[in-house]
Amino acid sequence: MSIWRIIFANLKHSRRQHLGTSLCLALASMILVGSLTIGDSVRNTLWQKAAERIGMITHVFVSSDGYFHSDLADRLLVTEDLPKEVMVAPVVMATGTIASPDGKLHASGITVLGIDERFFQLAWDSTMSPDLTKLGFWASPELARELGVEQGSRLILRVEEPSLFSRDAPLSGERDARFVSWNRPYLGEVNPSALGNFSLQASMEPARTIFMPLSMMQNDMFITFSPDERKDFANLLLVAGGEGLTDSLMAMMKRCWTLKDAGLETKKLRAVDRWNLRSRKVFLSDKVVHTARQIDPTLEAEFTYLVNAIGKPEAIGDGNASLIPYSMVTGVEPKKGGILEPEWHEGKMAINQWAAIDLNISLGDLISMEYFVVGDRRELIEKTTSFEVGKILPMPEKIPKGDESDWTPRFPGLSDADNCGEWDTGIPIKHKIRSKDESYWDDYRGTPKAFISLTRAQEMWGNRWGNVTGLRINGRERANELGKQLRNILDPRTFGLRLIHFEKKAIDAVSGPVDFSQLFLSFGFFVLLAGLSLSALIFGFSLEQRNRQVGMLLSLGYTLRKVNFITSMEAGVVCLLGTLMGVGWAWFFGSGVLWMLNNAWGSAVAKLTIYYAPRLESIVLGAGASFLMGLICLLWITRKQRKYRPVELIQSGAYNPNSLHSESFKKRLYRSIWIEPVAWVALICMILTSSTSKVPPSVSFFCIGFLVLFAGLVRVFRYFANNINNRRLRDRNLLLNLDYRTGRKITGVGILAVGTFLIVGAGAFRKSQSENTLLTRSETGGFTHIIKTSLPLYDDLMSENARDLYDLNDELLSDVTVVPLRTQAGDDASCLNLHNSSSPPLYGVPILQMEKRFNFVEGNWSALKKSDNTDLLPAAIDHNTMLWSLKKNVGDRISYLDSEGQEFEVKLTAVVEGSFLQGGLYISEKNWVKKYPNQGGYQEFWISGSRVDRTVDHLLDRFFNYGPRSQTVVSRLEQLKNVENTYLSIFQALGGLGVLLGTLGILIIIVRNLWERRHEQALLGAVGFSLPQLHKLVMRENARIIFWGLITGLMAGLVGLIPTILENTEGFSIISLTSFGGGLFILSYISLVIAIRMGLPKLPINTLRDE
Amino acid sequence: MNSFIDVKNLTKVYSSTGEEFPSVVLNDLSLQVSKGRSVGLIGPSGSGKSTLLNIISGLDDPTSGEVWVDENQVHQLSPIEAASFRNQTIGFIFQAHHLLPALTAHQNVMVPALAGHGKMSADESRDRANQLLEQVGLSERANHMPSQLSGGERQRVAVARALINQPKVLLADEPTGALDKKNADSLMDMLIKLNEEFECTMLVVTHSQEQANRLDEVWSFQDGKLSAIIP
Repeated sequence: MSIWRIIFANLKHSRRQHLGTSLCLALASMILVGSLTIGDSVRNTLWQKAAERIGMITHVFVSSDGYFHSDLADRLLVTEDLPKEVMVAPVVMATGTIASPDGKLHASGITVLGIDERFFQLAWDSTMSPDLTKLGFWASPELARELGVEQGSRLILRVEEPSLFSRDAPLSGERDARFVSWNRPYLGEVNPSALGNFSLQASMEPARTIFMPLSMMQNDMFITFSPDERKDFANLLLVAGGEGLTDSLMAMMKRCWTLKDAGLETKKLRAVDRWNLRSRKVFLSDKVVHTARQIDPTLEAEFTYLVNAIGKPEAIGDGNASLIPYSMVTGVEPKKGGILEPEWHEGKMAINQWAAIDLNISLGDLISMEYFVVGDRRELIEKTTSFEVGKILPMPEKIPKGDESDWTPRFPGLSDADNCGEWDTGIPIKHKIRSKDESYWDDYRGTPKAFISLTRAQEMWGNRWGNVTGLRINGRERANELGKQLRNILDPRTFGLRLIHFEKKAIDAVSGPVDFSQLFLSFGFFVLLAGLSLSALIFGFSLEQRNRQVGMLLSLGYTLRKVNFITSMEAGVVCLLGTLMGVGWAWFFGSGVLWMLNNAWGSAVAKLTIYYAPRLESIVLGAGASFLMGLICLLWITRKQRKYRPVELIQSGAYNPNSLHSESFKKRLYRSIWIEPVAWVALICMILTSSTSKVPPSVSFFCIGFLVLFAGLVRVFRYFANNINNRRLRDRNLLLNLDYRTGRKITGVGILAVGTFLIVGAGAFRKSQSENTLLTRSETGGFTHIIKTSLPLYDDLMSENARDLYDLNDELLSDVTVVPLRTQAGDDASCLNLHNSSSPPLYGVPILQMEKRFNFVEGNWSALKKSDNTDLLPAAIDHNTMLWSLKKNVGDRISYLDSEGQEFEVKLTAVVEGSFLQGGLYISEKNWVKKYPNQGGYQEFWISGSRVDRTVDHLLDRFFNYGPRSQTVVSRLEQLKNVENTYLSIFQALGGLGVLLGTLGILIIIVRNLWERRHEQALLGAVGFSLPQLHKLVMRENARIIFWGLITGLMAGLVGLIPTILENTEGFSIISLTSFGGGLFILSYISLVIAIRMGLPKLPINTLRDE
Repeated sequence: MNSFIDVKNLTKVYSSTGEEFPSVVLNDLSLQVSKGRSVGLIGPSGSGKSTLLNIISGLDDPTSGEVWVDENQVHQLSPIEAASFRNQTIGFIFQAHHLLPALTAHQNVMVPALAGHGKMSADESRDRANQLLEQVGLSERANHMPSQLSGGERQRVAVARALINQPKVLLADEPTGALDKKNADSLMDMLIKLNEEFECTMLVVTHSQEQANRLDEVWSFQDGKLSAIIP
């Protein structure tokens, strides 16, 4: 007979216990493998969604600051070094609203993409692409579902008319936003495999997109652009097949990039051999001016501006007095032979003869000029400045029809006007335009009536978009050279063209999101622990039963190593069986959890439908890890048997109480004396530290709780051990200590205590709705509603101008405060997004309106004002977003690109305590506009005050064309809390399963103990104890396990919550805690009764006979 | 003569699954024992000696027949009455001492007094346990655990335990079986002395004819029946 025969015989003999051990190990294996496969499934689903979203696109050029000509795509394709397989598609992207003609259907906040056939070539399946020769709309699957219209139904799409430059800027055109509308048929849905779900952002929200032919969009959208200019604009270039080209793509783009793409041109003036460098955006940026002047120092800068009136000082402000309304005035650099001579005094003005005659003034007279400058939120501030007439210029030359003055750039709403009545400059017309003004316009167009020094002009009208409207160049050669060198020097990034490594960003977004493997492992950790503990316990039972066998083998001459080999092989087979069963169960566990995630726990995955997709690597890894853990656990339990001599094993059988009175046990007991006070001292320190510093509540809960658990379990161990060693116990308690197996009791108490503690914690941290939602120092900041618009609004809604412009009800608005926010799009970093967000949306907030709102963990709103370094801006962030989504700390930095493609950083300076601000970063509006000067307007508004509901309805009605969407702050908070609460529900569900297992473990321990101690029961029965008496005795004996388990767990939970309760008692319910404790006690009590009935159904007196 | 223990036509049959013929251990056995008498029961292994003691004490049920002890028909008692009967009327000494390993010798002796059927107070039972241990010569070992006692000492603790409630009947199932001759003689001396001192009726199962001969009566088991042997 070989040793394998003994192993096989042992396995067969102890098959029941081994099956029990395997079942418990299977449970642990199920949690481990199941959790890993859940993580696989979430990642796989996200990756499938990402693959659908990006198609074959690897890179995207985004012009955040305007438009380029769409033939840039062709130019890029023919760039030297670009591989042949690369494909490029130009796209116009805008935001808009879509509605049915009768207004019954309305969807706002949708993305509008102007595309041609090249777009679909970047899709996985271009055969699914729609026929773009038809003029109409196609929708993304989600929007198609939302609209629910049949093919052929007509829809009205509305987008904001693109502006040449920021509508915040002076002279940017009509104040009210203009819209471009299309009334076209709906032609169907774009299949996901044909890029139907294309989106730049990795978001959980499915793409809501309207696709339309590129040419149709271009033809209608760019009507305000110069009539001379081509309309083939685009603002996105999608590149496929660009793997490995990330570093060279921008260099290639620079080679094919032209000044026209940047909106710059060297314009031939009517003056002989004079040229002018101008921008489509009217104002030349400081960077362009600086670079150009470095290339050619002879360039002459000019700054032309529209002023409201020129007249004698006494005439300004007097409506009836004579003055010239609405004239161009140009600031030029004084120079020899120029309009203004060198040494020109800044307080002097040169006016043309037409103006001098009109105003009847002569040299030396005082003349005043009235003009608007733009303040914050496009507020128009009227100013007046006086000059001395220093020169009277001759009559200007007449301007041919269709042409413009050499001094005046093309102002939107002005330059194309046939007469003064058509002017649409964005400033209120308050002076009467006379017939001679019309005549001047007809003859001289925008020819300046006055000139002042450039320095003075810049002082008066300078703004963040630029201080120069043109750079004069002498001669064609210089103009050509300037153009050439500018193209070489200036980087496309300077003009807002950013290159996004789209594919990498998508991979990053799905690679590092919430790790569901880790999440479910931590949620199921207790079940795993319980499974392992129980398996060790049952295996230990089976070993104890075979003490005599082991002792016998040793006394027969087997070496300890050989005996260990037998035991280890048995453990290995049991572990293998458990692991294999666990792998099978993992499928049910994984599928079950995913089913819950797709249904009741949907909030945790933002309602994403996840398909079970386990990876073989994860199964192998999980199975290997659970096998190893199980084996270590079982081998650890066998060490106890190795402590005894063969004779002790033979004599004691399964029964060895001697160890309790052994010196080593007593030493352990004495050693444990100091552990307890140390744990209590550490605990008090921890509570004090948590109360005085800003330790997150969950961290303090777990640290404090585990200390209490530890100290409590040591206390319980000492209690049981002392009772057993105490030989002078009072008689009534004498029979309560017949069970000497302290380890088993502590295991039972421990499992129950840990389970109770975790469930208490999960319950206590469940987020409930705050009752004080109107308090400014709360999670709402006192705001009740959030309004988002698809198209930006430019004015301060609280201003008189805005009330006139949007026809707002003064009375309703008088009771509310509207805080507008500027928005730079980014990947949502709130807990609603499962993707990894590297650059969250960046909001510009008006600090003054935010003071004294929200509670801060660190800093406050004022901290956002302090900024010594223009490339390091202080930002506020929600605490949860910082900790969990971005995994950052106070003082950490996040990089962004400004509108000129320059990198800057925001530093996490102020941290807002759990609020609806989750998902983004907040910097001061002042800093925001410095970084994104060309992005005008506000698309998000936070409302507070009384009678808000009516006001919000009113605003939604007034802003209908802007595609408004409103949400109450309370519902936003509920959305966010739902995620957290769902995680807690999962935790509680798995924790509950763990507690059930713990209870099952206690049940097994009790039944096993009763079986092992049947001789004791028999003896007690023989000496006169009745069955009910014995039941009562066993009940009292084991109720202590439940009592101490529950008390230790509850105490650990309660003490762990002290810092949280001290800080905020809101949401903490002693009733729910008590009812939970009560429920758990009843469950445990019932289990105990069942166990006792099972373990001691009748007096086992017959066992005495077995002797 | 009025019998204190009256066993009438007692039959005990053990039948186990798969066996064609059931095993008849006690066959229409009758036995009467007067109060205060000491009786030795001898016979070969498996002859039914222990079964008879178990049935008399109510630890086992007969297949047929009646057992009367102190005017109680033992197997007609309710479970509670049976428990009280075993506690107050019977003192049982097992061959294997069956001491509770977690309790000291003194605590083990006290165990029957804790069942709550008697009127003895806790202090009284404690004093009595001390007294009994002294009587069995173990007063010095009262606070020792069973594992710290020798086989003879353990058996003497078991005797003291059997006497704690001053039982009217002392049943001893091979009390000297696991002891050497010296210890066996010493224990039997003690049992006889206690029988005389407490006037309790005593039935002792033993393999040893020599030990049995020291008792008032000796009965021998043969084919499930008893036959008297005059010492």
